Amino acid sequence: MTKKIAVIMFPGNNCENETARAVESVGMKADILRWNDTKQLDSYDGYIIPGGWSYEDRIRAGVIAAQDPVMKVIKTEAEKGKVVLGICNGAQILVETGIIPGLQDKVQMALAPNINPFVSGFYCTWVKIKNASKRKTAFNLAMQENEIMPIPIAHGEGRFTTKDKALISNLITNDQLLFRYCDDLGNIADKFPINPNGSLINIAGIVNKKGNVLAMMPHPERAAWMRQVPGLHKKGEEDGPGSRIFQSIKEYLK
Amino acid sequence: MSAVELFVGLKIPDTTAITAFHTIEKMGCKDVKKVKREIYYKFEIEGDAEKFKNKIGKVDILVNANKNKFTNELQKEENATYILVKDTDDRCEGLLHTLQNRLGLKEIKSMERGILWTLYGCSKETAKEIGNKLLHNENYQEMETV
Repeated sequence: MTKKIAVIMFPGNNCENETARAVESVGMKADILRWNDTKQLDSYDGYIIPGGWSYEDRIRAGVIAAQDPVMKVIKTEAEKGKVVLGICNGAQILVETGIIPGLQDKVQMALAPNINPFVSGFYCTWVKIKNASKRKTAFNLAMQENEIMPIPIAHGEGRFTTKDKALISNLITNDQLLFRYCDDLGNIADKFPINPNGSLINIAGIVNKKGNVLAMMPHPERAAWMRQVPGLHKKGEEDGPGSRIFQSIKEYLK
Repeated sequence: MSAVELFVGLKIPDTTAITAFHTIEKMGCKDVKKVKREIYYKFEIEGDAEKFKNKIGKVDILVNANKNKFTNELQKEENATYILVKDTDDRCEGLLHTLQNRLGLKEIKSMERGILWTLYGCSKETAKEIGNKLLHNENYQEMETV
């Protein structure tokens, strides 16, 4: 049976259509649901919170959406093991709810304003990330270990940070740092432009302990076909690197 | 050296403050009757503070007279709790460079900025709770009740 993914659209999101297209390109069904449409939400196999500016980033990116009743439903479904992917603003929402990293029942991290030596605020470019986890999660089943992917970022607040000094070593121990910014050869160097936003130890995406919830700042839906990838665009409709995240979700849901 | 503060608010409706108010309501807190938001700046300056106050309120990258109003002192009101939120890593480098070098305000030696939230009608404890749950993320920001 075709697996169904709900793409949750908050007021101000703007990546719901391309996210739904990327989901459908790997053979799953995607429905774009409004944030206040929670009636049938538990009938879905997974949830994606796409990028954009939910509630215009008022107060702080992701924080108002994090207080929305729909996030309680998503949290409950995630606890049952369903897949939840937050992309960019979606990642900010997951962090502001505390679902990511999810080791305590509180907000343990932030996606703080970028630290970038040249550009203040919003920064948009192509970067490389690497599948840095040794374990298989819902999001890297279709990837090789240490696989390097070109992928775009577009954000002003993408710097994973925490004031809890022990947290990062716990995340490393739990193998929760799924994606990390790297150079062309996969070296993780904590310097610009390899680390484009000053994120702690080059974190680009964090999974929860179970491996069924991911918050990632880069946009896989914008690298779902090779025609979208600079330098590789002549490969046209072939699957792009971002597609492997959606393929992984499909494989996980089998 | 002396310190000069600048509180910049909106003359037009502040959609962010209105959204914050409705979010607080959605979170179940009915005590808060109104929310106000101002951008807060604090300048460490050399020279005459009064002269600087006259100048800084006319700097249109900080105060756009068409939509903003400003004051140099916190105007304390009854039944109001003030919460100041600042980003811990914010050194204001870009803005400070512009003020010093493009606008010629060489008397500014350092500066800081934040958001001053005014919550009307609730207790200080409730305001702190809202500050912790909504208005600041302790992982990169600091909060103080003024």
